[in-house]
Amino acid sequence: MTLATIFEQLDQWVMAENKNATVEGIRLLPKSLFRVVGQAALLEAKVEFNVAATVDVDVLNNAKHEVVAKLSELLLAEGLELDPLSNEIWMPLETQYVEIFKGDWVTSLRAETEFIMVSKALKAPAKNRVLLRNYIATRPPVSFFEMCEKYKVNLDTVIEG
Amino acid sequence: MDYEEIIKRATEKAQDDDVLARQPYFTRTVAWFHYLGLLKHNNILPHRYHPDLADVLKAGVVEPRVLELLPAVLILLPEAVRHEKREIPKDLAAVIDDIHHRRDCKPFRGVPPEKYRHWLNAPIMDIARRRLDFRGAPRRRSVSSGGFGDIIREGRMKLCLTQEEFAKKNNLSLRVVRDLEQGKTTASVASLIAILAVFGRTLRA
Repeated sequence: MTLATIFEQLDQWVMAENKNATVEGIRLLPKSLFRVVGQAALLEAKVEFNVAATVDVDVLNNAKHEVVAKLSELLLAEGLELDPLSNEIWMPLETQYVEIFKGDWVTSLRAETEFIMVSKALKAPAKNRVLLRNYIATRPPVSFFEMCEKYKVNLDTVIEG
Repeated sequence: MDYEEIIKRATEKAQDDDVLARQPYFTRTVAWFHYLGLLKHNNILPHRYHPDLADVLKAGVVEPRVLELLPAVLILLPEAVRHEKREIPKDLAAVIDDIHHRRDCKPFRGVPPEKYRHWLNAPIMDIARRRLDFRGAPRRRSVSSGGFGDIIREGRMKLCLTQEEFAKKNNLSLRVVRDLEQGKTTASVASLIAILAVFGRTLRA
């Protein structure tokens, strides 16, 4: 099952919950935005270089606890885990996202590859050295290098170790 | 910043990395962890290789995420990695010991404790346990293919070839190679003889 299908199921769940809430006169769950970053976003983007990922999915979100818990449950059913520290992940200010799924209640996006790689180069270069070398070897857009300069990423250290 | 120079250097290094990523110890480890549901890889399919500890440790040098999972795997799923206790390197043994005795842990080969400790309580380990236990169940194979799939797959891995590369090299369709490895198809005797000859094997009655 793809991430889009999981988010679609989540949207349907929120819709059902809100339908019940209307009948029972309790507060509706608001619309939620999920932004998938990290390795899961790279796999979703079907990048051409080698990507290995642990099964924890990094998702920045503004959702209510119940919705996040349901997402966690849906992911687990597919052998994936929601990283509980997702919201602490740093992404560049300029990060651009691509839509994965858009429903009435849930929208999910994935970060574009170059922005994920800047984040990795800055925050975890050792763990991602091989991944970053592979990525740079694919001739990334100039904006990747410009962001590296802006955020003071030392690409020499990233490449050579 | 000289972008072209950086790309050139990264490309050289990436070529070396690619050689390592095609080594059997790496593909076996990743395919196995993928099979257990602990790791995903966009170019290595899940498979039941059951690597030994030396393979896993070497693979961890190429892909640190393997090292991130290793302490939890050795504690919760010890039979998932073939090893004897004396083969566990001192630093890894110390990490396992610290976890058992609930002591503060040190980083393990660059992996911070919070990263490898996370997997000790991860529900995904239960799923891996079930997949590991499932290994004992007999696999259904077609009578015609029998153990050829394993011979072909292992031989191909030793040559560090993907299924696509192997098919191209031996003038076979990718579908035939995939099906043979999965024991799904009845190949012609001529094709089987040709494939086995690649690995120095013969077809005997």
